[in-house]
Amino acid sequence: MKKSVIVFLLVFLLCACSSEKEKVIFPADNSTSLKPIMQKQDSIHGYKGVINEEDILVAIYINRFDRFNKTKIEKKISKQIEKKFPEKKVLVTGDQKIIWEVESIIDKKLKEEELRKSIEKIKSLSKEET
Amino acid sequence: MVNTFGTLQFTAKVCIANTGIVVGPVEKDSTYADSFDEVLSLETEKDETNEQAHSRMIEKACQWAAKKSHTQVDKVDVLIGGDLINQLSPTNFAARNLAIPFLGVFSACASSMESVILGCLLLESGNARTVLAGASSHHQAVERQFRYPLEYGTQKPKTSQWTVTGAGFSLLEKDIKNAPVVTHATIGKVVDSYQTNPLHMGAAMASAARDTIERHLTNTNSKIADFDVIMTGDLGNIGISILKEMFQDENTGVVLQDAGAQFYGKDKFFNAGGSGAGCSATVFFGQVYEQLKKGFYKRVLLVATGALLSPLTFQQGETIPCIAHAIECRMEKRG
Amino acid sequence: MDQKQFQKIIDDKNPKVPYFMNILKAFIVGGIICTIGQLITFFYMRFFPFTEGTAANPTVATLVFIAMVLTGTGLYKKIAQIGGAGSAVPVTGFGNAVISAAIEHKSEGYVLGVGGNMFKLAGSVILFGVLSAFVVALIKTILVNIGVVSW
Repeated sequence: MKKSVIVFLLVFLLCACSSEKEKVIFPADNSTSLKPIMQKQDSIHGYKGVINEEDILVAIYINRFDRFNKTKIEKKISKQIEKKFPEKKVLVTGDQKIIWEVESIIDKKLKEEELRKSIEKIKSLSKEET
Repeated sequence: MVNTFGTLQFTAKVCIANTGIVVGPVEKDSTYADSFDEVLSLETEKDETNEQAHSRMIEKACQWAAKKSHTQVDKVDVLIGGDLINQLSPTNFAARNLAIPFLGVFSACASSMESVILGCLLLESGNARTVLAGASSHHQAVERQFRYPLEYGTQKPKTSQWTVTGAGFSLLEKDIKNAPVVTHATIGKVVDSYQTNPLHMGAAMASAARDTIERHLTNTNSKIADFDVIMTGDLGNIGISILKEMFQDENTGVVLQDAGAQFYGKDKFFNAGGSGAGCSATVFFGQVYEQLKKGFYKRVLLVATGALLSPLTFQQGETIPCIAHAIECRMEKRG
Repeated sequence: MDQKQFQKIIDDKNPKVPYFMNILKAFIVGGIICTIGQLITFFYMRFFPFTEGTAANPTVATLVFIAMVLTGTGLYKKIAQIGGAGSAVPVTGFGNAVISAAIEHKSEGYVLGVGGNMFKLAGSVILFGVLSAFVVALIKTILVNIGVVSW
């Protein structure tokens, strides 16, 4: 009984945090100037971005121990992006929920109008206070 | 009656005529379970408070003691009893329903022996013919008053004890055949050994027990080996080993026993064992009384120990003063 | 026999407290409770429009509800006997303190009994929680104003 519990816990521990996240910007044709900014960040190990005419939405996978500085990292990256794209509204976040939402947008390959709507939805989500 | 330094000698042949013992459901698996008259199926009946259940248990124990002597409770001259709850309310309320002259006593878990001592004095002086004496405790009611709410999750240390739900009452009468006689009693002193941990009362009470036993032995000119058993009330596993260590007498190993330490057997759940006024009362009037009656024990010393603390005093950082009252019972040859 | 000798006997006879085992058990029990909490958070984030920040509230409510059921059925004190601090420190321990007091004092009526005694144990948690939050915020404010750290 005791042994099986230990084995289970070990497997559980080893399984965690092993998959490398992808680095995607959607739609891909807009990504040329955004990618270099994201590539040089060392406190994240992946990102998923969505761009349309008005907004830039980037969900970042922050490294395990950098999560303590989550808000700082978000702020830093979003400032760098704002510099490059002064005409667009930028949202950078490491929130798991928004990562999932962005992933689902990318998976569904949404078109113009729907894309705008979902971005609005995500923005309102992230504004909600606890 | 002769009094030497707190040890009373009874000359009037005061007997424990019969006893009545009622315990709660947890005590069903006790090592002493055979000697209990009634085991309640629930700690509290539906819509009943802990305190109501407590006083109902006391009433039942008194009725059992009277019934076994083929008499009625209201024929008893005096009821003496005590418990651990504030202002003795459970015993007071039970006495209201029993409607007999009543004396309430309190020395925490030593109340069981204190009431017997007072009962013997009443009989000895000829002011009463029958006396009901005993004590009781109710786990839930005590836990709630002295510690935390019942369902509150705290880790209990190995030194903590489980308050017994039980009531033990004895019917004292003079000149009964085939019944153990109370020959001596030693009134305890309040002894303080500067212990402050309310979850380790065995250590605090051990020195009180030692003081009383030692005084009893010197005052009656006897030694530990003269007794079949010297039984303490509720020192618990650790408390009794401390007491044995303090005596440093080779006979303590067999003679010195503790009701609390043996009450629940070896069950780890109860940590150091049972405690409470009900623990000493149910064991002394149950198992020990039966053994006396059967003639296995000829001479026993029953020492009930009590920790005189209240939730107020230990939170104010006071030490735990303790007291121990003892009675010596002898069984004459059957005949 | 004087006090010193007596104290020595007591110290000899006192059972050793298994600190290491207690710490290990507290770690495992506390860890399990927190893992369940994390799973509930993920559940709320997955199936409801909650973000990491906002999912904390319904998670706490759910955990307190679970603690309530466990307290009412008498299971929580068994967990606490094993877990010790591991079961007292998470929010379930707070829930247990409130609910056990409420159950206990129901016999004195709802206003003076339950209402008056519900926070008998948990009251100090609230008081010192607020106090320590205030002190920590004060320290941080001072540090930020001096310029040692930033928000």
